Amino acid sequence: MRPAPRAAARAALAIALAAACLAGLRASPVQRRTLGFSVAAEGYGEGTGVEAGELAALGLVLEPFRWPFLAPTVSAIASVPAFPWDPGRSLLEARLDLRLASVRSGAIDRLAREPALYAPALSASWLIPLGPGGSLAAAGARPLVLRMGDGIYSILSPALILDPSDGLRPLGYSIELFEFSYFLF
Amino acid sequence: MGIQRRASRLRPGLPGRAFLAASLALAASAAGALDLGLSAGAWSFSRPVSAARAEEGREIEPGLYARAGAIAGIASRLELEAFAVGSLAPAPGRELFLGAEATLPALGSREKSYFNLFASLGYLRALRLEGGLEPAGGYLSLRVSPLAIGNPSYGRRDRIFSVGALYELGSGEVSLTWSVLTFDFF
Repeated sequence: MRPAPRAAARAALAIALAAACLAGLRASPVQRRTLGFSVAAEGYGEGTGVEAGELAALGLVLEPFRWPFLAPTVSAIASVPAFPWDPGRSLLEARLDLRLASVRSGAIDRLAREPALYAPALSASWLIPLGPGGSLAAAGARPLVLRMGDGIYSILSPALILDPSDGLRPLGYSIELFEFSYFLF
Repeated sequence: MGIQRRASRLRPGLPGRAFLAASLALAASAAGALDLGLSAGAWSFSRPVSAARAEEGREIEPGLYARAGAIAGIASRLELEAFAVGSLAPAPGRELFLGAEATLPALGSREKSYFNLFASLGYLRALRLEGGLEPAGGYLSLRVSPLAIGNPSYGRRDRIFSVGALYELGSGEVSLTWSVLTFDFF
């Protein structure tokens, strides 16, 4: 294929995807509220400086815009080591998610058993350990996200943990088993 | 004449025919009742480091664990599940448990009751990834899922706040397990 038709094909694909996202959001009776809370379970890999174990996370979530894609979501999260229990090594986290798309399909509705949007996102975080160790940064992906009603349900979200004091050197990984967010206001 | 004699010798007698009929009826009934599903969920060990296992260098590592399984409903009051519990962090898959459970619904038929309570009795085998997968102890498991929402007829079921006790064979130690949420898809 010559360059010009290839560029045109790409543009057509982008327009089709954007239209699908917009149509999906417009047709969907999902989330109308802006402020809510989240619960999650997460763990950190070796080398990150965060002690091994399961962390239970509770957060505040703010989503001020209704855009179907590139909509930002801001969260303030406290993560406490739950198994084993060690609140002295909790983490405070500020996170920005950027929604990449909002896709609606019959298959997703059937899986969720109610109207739902598939809405993958990218995330960037700043982490402050309450125990020993300096601040950390994280860049993550949220590939498995469903939005239903006033809730956002994500599972298996990985992130790369970076050392901001050393030119964002990668230290290891973290993984969030699940995060459920509910918008109340 | 000879062929008829041979054929009559091959025909099962009354007990044989009764056994065959009962087996066919049971198989047909099981086939009708059988439903299959997949499950995925969270899993936590209350005491990830067992003293007895630590002395032997076979402790369960603290970490983030997840559970995945396959369900076979074999009767309205009984389902069987084979599952794996594996660590996602700090090292993915370094700790692995394979298990099987028999689950009984307490509040009604598992196909028809939208809300239910389940009790499960099972066995877990620990495996540790060190060069290869090495066996690292076995556990008897008793779990209760106090709230299950959905059923196989609906196609989805969520088991919420499941708690369980693990009895480590050998050391006799008892520890607890906890699963916030398990999704079942039928």
